[in-house]
Amino acid sequence: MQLSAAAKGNTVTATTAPKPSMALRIARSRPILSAGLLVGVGLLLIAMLSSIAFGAADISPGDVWAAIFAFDPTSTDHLIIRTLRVPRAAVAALVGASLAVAGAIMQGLTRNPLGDPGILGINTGAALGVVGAVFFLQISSLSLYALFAFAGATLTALAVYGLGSLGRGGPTPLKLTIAGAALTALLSSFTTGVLILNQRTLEEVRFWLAGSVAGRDLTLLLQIAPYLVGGLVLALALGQQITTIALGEDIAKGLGQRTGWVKGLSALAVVLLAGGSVAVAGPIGFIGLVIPHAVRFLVGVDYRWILPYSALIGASFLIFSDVAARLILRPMELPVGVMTALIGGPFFIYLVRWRVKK
Amino acid sequence: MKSLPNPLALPLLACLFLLLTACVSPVTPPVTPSASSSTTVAAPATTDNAAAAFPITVTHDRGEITFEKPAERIIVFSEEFIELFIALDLAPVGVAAWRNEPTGETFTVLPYLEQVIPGAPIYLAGNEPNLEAIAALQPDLILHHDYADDTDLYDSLAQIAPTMAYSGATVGGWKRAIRGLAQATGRSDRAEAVIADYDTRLAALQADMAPMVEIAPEVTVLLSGIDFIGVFDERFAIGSLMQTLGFTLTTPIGDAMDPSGYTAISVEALRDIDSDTVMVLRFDSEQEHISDPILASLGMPILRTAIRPGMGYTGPYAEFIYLEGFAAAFHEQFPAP
Repeated sequence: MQLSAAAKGNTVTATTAPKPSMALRIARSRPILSAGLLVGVGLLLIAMLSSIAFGAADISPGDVWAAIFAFDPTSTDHLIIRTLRVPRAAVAALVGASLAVAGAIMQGLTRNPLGDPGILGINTGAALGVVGAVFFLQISSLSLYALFAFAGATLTALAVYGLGSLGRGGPTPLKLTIAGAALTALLSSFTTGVLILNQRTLEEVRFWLAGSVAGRDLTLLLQIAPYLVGGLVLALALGQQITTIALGEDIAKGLGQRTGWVKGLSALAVVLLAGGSVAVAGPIGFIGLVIPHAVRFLVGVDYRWILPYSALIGASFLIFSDVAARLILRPMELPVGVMTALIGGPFFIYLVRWRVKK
Repeated sequence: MKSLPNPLALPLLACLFLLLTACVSPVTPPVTPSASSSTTVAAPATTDNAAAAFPITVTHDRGEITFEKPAERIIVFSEEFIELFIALDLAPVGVAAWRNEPTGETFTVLPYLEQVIPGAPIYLAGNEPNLEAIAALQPDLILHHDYADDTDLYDSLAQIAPTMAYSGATVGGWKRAIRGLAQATGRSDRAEAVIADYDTRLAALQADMAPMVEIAPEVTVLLSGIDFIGVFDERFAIGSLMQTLGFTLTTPIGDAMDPSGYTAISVEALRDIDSDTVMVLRFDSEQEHISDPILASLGMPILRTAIRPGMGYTGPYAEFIYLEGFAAAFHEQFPAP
């Protein structure tokens, strides 16, 4: 039973990891997994083409092609492709990849199957950063939202990491989780308080809080892209170390790993990835939770594969979600954060039920 | 009761009407309040014709109220209805207005008009004001803007004091409210003067715009933000104002419009605009909006008018700010020969 074996494979401690069947071992052999990455790249390309080809306006494939390779700045259709759909697809791809990789790292690092960047208070910190800036400074531009979101996410993650590092043993997964939950609750209270007491702030940030990739142009993306790309590179470089530490900290230490460094660099990668993502697109939920689990079904527990697969599938997932968000209520649009929640919510319930049964 | 926009529409509009800081120049209100609009006015409401026939029964959107004597301690909801107090030179004791929030305890100035509100009323927060604070002011009348069709809130307010509710969401809807308020405070003569002044100015503006209507009878009215676009039809106050000038409103989405008269649409849908002109309402003039390149490619006149932050949709002052903004944009696009 492949599902059963894969499900058991989700148990990330070495002592309880099942012995994969022969078929599974073949399916997860290096050549097959490498080929799978190529399939993932193909899926991403299809997603991006879909994002560029489909939207509220019906534009013929010929015009789509011409907009890319023979751009006419006086053509409305060409402008729709160039100024709206292409940037949107690029933002969704980078943000989706970043959130999925950040989620995978968090699940590996904390050995918590329900882990995602929210555990470090990233989304909460970003939301408080934006709400506070709107309330105190009356800011009203997406680039300034991004700045304060990133600052809020970073400061919060550092605070969580600092709190989780107190006491003996350094930043253990349990302490990080508890510190994150506590700080998330505290900061959420501040945010809620401001939003309740100040209706104007609530109205201004309501749509940002829903999460969206609409209206984000390449300029904004280029401002944040260095953080996201840097985070992705760092994460991919840490794949082997995260696989080891996911076996358990004692085992990792026994194998000679300097776990403090690995945890610190992993946390840095998460801050770069999730902080940058929330800065560009607002808090988009469920990708960091859902995608790593789906990937583990496919590739097992080796983070050298989980991370690149998460990046590719996360990117494709967010792009397809955005296409659906555009088409479902055409000519209106849903925020993509709503769409990912619609898809991710049922999966979350399934995950919880599966864990309970197990 | 007038139905509201869909759940996304009003928050969006509210968000937009509040977004910016000082990016538009102040404009003198078209209806000049009386000279007694001063921060030093602290007395409760007084009547023009105190000897008017009381008791009087006033009809409002949710029923009738009989006043034995002129109301003096009045609490008012919304910027739209605060305008009525400025127009009548009437001093409320409390204000619940969610688009503008004062820095102190009192709400002394309506920012988008830069007009002092008589009586330096206490600020009572926004959509969900503190009922205890309202009760503590011991009002003898609450003028409630019923835009949310919130029966629970109305019932709560009505338990505190006689509460008159008006939707006020449609153009000219404030006329019913100002007449009711004037009846309850013995200022009907002044209310009729305000209405007459409004009608006279509107007639003049309609005459002024008649040549433009001949040139470009069909117009699409949009609300533009940094990352979104919405469209109005004549069912929403702002669209209705354009219709009042004589124009016919068209939308790029036809039957898909929300019954409220405002719909947030995909920017891509702008491609389907089919009208003589496009009127774009926006809060700022400097930042590029996501819709700007698409609109520029449509090959039709794109007219722009700035919106003042915190402004309501209707009212004797707000409506003329919109109307004169529309007129100025048309004159700029189609200058007289």
